Amino acid sequence: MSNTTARSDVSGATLNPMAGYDRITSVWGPITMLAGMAAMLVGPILMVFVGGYTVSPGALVTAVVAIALVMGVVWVIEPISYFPILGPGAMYQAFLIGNISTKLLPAAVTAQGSINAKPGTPQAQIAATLAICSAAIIHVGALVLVVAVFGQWLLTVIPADLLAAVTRFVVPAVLGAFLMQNIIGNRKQPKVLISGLAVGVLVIYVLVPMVPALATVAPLFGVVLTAAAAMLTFKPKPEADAR
Amino acid sequence: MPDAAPTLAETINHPLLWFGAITVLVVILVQSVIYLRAARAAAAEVGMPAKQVRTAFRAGGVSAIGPSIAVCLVALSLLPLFGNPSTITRIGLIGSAAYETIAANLALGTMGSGLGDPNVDGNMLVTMLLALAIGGSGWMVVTLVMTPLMKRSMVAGTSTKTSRQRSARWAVLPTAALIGAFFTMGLKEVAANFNGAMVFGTSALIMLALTLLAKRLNKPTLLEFALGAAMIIAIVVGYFIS
Repeated sequence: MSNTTARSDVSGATLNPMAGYDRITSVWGPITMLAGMAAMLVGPILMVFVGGYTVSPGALVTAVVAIALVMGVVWVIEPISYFPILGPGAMYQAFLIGNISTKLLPAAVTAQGSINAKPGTPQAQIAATLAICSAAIIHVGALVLVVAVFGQWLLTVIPADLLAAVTRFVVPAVLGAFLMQNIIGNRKQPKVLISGLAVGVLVIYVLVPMVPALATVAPLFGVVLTAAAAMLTFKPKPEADAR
Repeated sequence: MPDAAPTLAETINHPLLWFGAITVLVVILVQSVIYLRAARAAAAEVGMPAKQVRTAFRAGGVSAIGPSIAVCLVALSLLPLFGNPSTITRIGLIGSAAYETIAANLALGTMGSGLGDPNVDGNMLVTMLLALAIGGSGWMVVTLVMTPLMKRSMVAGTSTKTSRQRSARWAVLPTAALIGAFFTMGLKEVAANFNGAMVFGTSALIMLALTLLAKRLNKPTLLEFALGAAMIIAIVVGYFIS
């Protein structure tokens, strides 16, 4: 995030080394995101105006409302929950390509670990951006190969029950490894880890069973409560933070 | 309608839908190039060695291979119903197979049909795809509106009098948010059912073992493959126990 370390304060005086990055991403982030939104809509819209397909406005509005009633909460919860993790610049990348928890964050954390970047430093932010960019390129490559080129063929060779197992277990399979990666990476911050575990248990085993409607917003509770607990129990220690 | 509507089969791989899908992929690549250049310029600014830039870029890409392939395999379930170009559009941008399946079913439900129903025709498919695209825009609109607002409050939180002490406190925030989010999401999977819990546990243990192994062998690049390996082994375990 935007705070600079004591070391870069000495060399860089008051200049924020990330100012250029912030400027570019705050302009081009929204522009490319709007372009992505347009690209997403262009196919179906052309089908109506060029392809001669008929979409009745009434049916479309009804369908959108039906989706919004069920999913609307997620559209709001996810950006708010991920903002503290991603920071402003990466938001426009993450919410363009999606698969944030299962792909982008693991890539970012692995990259930060690979160069031993400490959280909150410009190095960590740069490493995360580099990782999300290369994850995006891999994402496009995988879509072209697995879906566009070999999609129909793969459907005929992969047994249906294996595909079903992938579909069913992909989320716990990513989350287990990624949570462990973060526990190991943050083992010097037991307070944060214990807060996270306690909040998780509280939300999933107490709050959600009491109020099942909260299941969709459970991660938001996890973010807010853990962040609050960690920040309230935080005691500034001048230099003991170094690993 | 008096004249026969186009069938699903002649609609799902329509060239115009392919045009949309390719545009989506191009936008993602263009954005990545812009961000990549910004990150490299910032790296030069903070004096980060080129070797570290390459290492971080490679590590991110390698660790994304496993999840990317898994996500695309999951997306194959949409293929017979959506066709290739729309599967790319829907999975390429924000969204997931699970979300799109639910949303598609909701959209078709309002038209008196459902996903996989033989009465779905071309017009219904296009209506559904348009509704899904508008639905997917929901995340983007919220992101576009909320990001500048949240950024402002974040800056306000770190630029006041006791900013030095406060900014140290704020530095804990991303880590705490991440840990909180993933403990909650992880426990949600564990609580959901026994097989899911086994997959979750296997994946976590493989990650732990590979991390210890990487340290023992002094081979940090092993960690880049750890996520993919843990995922694959955990899914295989899930396949055999279910």
